[in-house]
Amino acid sequence: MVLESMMRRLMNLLMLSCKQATALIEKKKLVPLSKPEQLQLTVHTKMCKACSTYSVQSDIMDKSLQQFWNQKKSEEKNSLSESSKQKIIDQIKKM
Amino acid sequence: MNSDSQITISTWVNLYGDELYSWAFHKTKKVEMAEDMVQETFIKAFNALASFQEKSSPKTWLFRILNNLITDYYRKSAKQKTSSLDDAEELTNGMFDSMDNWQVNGFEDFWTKDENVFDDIDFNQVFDLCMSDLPDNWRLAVSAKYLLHKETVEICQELEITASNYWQMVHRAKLMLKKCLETKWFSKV
Repeated sequence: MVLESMMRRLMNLLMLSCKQATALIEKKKLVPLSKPEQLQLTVHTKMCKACSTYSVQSDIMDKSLQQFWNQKKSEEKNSLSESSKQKIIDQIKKM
Repeated sequence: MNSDSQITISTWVNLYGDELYSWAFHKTKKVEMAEDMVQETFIKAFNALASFQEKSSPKTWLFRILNNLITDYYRKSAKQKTSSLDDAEELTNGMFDSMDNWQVNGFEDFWTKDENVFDDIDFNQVFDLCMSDLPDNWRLAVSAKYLLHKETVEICQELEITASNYWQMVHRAKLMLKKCLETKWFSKV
């Protein structure tokens, strides 16, 4: 435990904090990383179990997000109720 | 005095209302928002009817008006509370230590324990809840990919944000989702 925290401090001085590393994990999914960023991230995740775990968690969240929106899509109502249509027509008539 | 125009618009409401609504709902996932947008579309169409002159089909024209409203809505949501990036420190408080490294909480292993978690109705309810806890612009950031079905560059153009703003919002949103899921789900199973 002590060794791990010393290791982390050292890593912090040399490279990324876990917060920065997780930011790069998310960045990588959306835009290409620069060479130094790639290197920093690779080294960090190799040494840091918590961040490689985060990477797995991030994928799980992506999968959940995908499912969340698929679900919402299948619940989609495809028509406007008659009362809503009437409301719009009444509104236009008042203009 | 505008009775011809009123009849035209009323006919269009009945002819195209459903399709416009369905598209608006698909893009916003909010019933009320979609209804308001459709109403706004017809009001704008009514006011601009003189300029329509049947150069395109009414349907194409109405969809163009609606799409402009949808784009405005996305841009507004993306810009909303941009200051909340600063509040991120507070929201993700307790997740990292003073050196910005993980504060290990012991829930890590639970994430991968149940492969069928996605089929679990209770988990999905918790996920819904955690999604609604996100600030609007963060929720939009993590959802843009699934709502717009576009690549990063186009998403940023559509939302009028920079790429770094985009992934930073996604990062914060996912940290907050993680925290929420761990508090409301993974610490309980």
